[in-house]
Amino acid sequence: MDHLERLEAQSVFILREAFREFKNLVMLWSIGKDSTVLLWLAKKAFFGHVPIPLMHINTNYKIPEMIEYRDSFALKWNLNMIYGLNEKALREKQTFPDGACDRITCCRNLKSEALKHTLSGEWTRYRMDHSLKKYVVDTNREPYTGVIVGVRADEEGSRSKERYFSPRDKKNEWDVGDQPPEFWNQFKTDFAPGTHVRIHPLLDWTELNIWEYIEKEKIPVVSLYFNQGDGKRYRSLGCFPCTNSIVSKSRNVKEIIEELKSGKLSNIAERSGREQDKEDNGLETLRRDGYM
Amino acid sequence: MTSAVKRLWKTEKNLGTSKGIDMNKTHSVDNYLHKELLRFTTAGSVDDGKSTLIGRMLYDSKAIFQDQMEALERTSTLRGDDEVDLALLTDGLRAEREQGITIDVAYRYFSTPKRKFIIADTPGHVQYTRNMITGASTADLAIILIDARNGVLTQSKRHGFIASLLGIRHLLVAVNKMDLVGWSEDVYNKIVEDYTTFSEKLEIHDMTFIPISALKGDNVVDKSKHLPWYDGGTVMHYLESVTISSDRNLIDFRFPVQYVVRPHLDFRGFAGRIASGTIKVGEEIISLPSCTESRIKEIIFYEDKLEEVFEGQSVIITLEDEIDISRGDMIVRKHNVPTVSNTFEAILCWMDDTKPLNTSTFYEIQHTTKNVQGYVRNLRYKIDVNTLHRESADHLLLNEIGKVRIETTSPLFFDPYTKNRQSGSFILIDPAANLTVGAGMIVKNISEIDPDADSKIKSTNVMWEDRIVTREDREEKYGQKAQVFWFTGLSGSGKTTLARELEKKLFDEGKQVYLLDGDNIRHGINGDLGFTEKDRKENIRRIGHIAKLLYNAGFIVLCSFISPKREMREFVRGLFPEGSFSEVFVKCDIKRCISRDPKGLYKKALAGEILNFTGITAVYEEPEDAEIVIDTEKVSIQDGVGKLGSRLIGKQTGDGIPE
Repeated sequence: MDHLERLEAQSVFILREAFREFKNLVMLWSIGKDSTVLLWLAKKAFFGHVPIPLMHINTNYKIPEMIEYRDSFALKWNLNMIYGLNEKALREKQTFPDGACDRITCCRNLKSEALKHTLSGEWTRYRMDHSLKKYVVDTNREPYTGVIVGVRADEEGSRSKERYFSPRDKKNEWDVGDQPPEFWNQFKTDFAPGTHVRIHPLLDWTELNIWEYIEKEKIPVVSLYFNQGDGKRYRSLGCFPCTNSIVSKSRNVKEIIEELKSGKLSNIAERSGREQDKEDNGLETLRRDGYM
Repeated sequence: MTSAVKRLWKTEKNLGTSKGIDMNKTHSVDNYLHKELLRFTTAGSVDDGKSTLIGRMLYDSKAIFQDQMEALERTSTLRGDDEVDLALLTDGLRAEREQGITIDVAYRYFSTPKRKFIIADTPGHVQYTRNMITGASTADLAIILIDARNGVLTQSKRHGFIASLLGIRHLLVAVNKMDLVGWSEDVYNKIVEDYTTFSEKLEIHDMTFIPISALKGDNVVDKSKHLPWYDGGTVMHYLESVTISSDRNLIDFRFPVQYVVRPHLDFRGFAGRIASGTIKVGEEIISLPSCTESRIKEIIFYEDKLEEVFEGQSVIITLEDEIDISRGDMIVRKHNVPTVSNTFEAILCWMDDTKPLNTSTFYEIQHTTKNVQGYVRNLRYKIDVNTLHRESADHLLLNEIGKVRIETTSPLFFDPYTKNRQSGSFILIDPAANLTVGAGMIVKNISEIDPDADSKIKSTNVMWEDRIVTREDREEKYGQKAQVFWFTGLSGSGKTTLARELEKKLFDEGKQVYLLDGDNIRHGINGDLGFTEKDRKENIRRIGHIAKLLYNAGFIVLCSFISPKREMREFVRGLFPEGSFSEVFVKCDIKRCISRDPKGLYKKALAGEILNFTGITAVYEEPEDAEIVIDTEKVSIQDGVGKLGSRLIGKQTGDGIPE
């Protein structure tokens, strides 16, 4: 087995372990490359049909193409697609683009809070109705206790501290200084009532591994990652007011892999286009409060 | 600064003097993908410079982003540091950067043209030992850092010991902060000597020492100019070139069933990951614990049907026959089955900071995909990590390590950890608190609990059942503890004389005792064996098992054989529970043996009539840790027998905890 096959086998094992052990399991899909690889792995792990509902946290500031991509694949792959959002903050314009708060607060409002309350079932969930081909209010309000997330340890400092099965307490918070030990491939999946568990099947993948796997498996990803002729592309996707493109000529997956390996991007961190990271300890602060 | 330490290739102009990067070799994807992966962990006491070392490796192999570097420089200037603090690169959390410590294990990824690396950067504080184990449990190699100013500390020993327990075969001891001891060779040599003395008792296959200064960059990636007396390689050179002996078991097929896949009525498959070994379509298997036989019908992954699969692959297996199998069962090859037992011995690392190990509490034991209830029947001893001595104990506290005997409510299917990391490891969970409280490694010595375990490994369908009359019953009836004395020594050293006198003495005292020696073994059961290397091994193997039968029958067994090879004596020792086997080294100078020459054999050997004669033309490997040494040049036979007798009586009244 080569390295990608080992990574794949490990991720599939973790996905199956999560599926077997959690009654109320959900998988976050940000439409980005990592969680799309995760979705692909789930397809492979479960005979082509993804048995786990997918959840997207919409901020209404996502790049429109991302939403189109999400819905076309939800229909094509017959996904149990759910989305949630912070309707109150959006209604009251408590956002950074509205000038009401800083970026970190905006992330907290539109993403962390929305995630927390959509997971718990307190806020409305919208579910794709495949017969109507549109979203309807989901009647299921049961809290999700297992949440599969596509974060990678190499992305940034706080993510390098994650476990494969990483508990969040009743307040959705992460006690990074006191995490359960995790040995060999023994994954403890039983946690105290009222908590939820973040499951991270991609922890050992690097950015390059992700692109190599996308190429190997011919996984369709949203075209924002590619240069469309203007010499720019996105390396990491978020909300458009806070996400910048990078200068790059890469028009396809192969060229991105070459670009990553050639060293052209080596002066720039992967998430350097994500403005919230630049605030002092922005991402760590957010992640301790429940950000993905 | 929150951006990631993300590993990417550097352009050639940035190469500098780094040994690590050679762009010419890196262009094809295939080349990249098939490069060998090395997982290593860093360990050592707090402030020994683990994070600085990793930062230095990343920095000197040009693996840090410019924006990160600038942010680091700013932070360091603000703090008034003379030099950039490279530890800031790996300490990803604010609290870590503020306090200058590592709190939890962090994983780093980087590659050079020669290798890919996954680093587990683990904390040094004692209270984080469990985090260290988390990082080390999947590592191939450990770097132990030692601060040259402080020498070998308890934590340096603890981490080396844990690394050896976890089966890490390669240890790199980096003696750091050499700049602060004036690059002194004497200081370095003293540490090498101290650590070597300590580690002689550890199971480390390969140990290397390198003097470094992580802060200044000496001998990390680039060779130091300050250490002219050191002619070895750098840390990076070592990491890139060390041959890793794989911890993967590619022989014994073990497939713990994760769950049953039933997408429709006509399909019934078993999902799981192959823990070890390989399997092909058509091979005969049995399912444990039911022992039902079948054959592999199909091996499936997504849309592919596979002919043969290997350790590590996650697949779905279907069988020719309808068999009742569920999660936690194990599919294995028909002629290669693991031990099936609800009792085993293990080395246990205790992880709970709230409660000590309690021998009367039920715990949940998670082993492969099986969860069972069980309890720690007894704590045989705990290990002092400083001296590696065994101490009797009635509890284990946080970060303490001991040997325990565990009983489970239903049987587990396991192999010794040294043979199979996947089927030899387990975790202990406190179900009330929902906490992982222990990490366990099953030891090879399981014969005490399961007398037929060895035969079970080779003969399938022979499930061990509890005997009605146990060894313990026999011991009670005979008023003795069954045990084995293994007399080893040169021909003419006096082994057999001593053993015969001891047998007579014990027999007169009413003990059930029997002596095995060349006379009653070579003429009968081993009459078919000659004196080739292979036959000598087989001879000892059979004697070991005969001794074991007698032992299980409650006997005191005396065995008198030259048994010149340490390896074979260790094999026999491994058949018995600790404390019940005593090696008796009957010591006598070869000249004295030749002058005694009771059977005239030395004369023949010296005349060239006997080949491979121990002491003359074949080597005798003296025991290093024999329980009893009797020098027959200095001690009379009576005194020798007396010494052996007292040793026996001590054991008769002991509680089974080895000294």
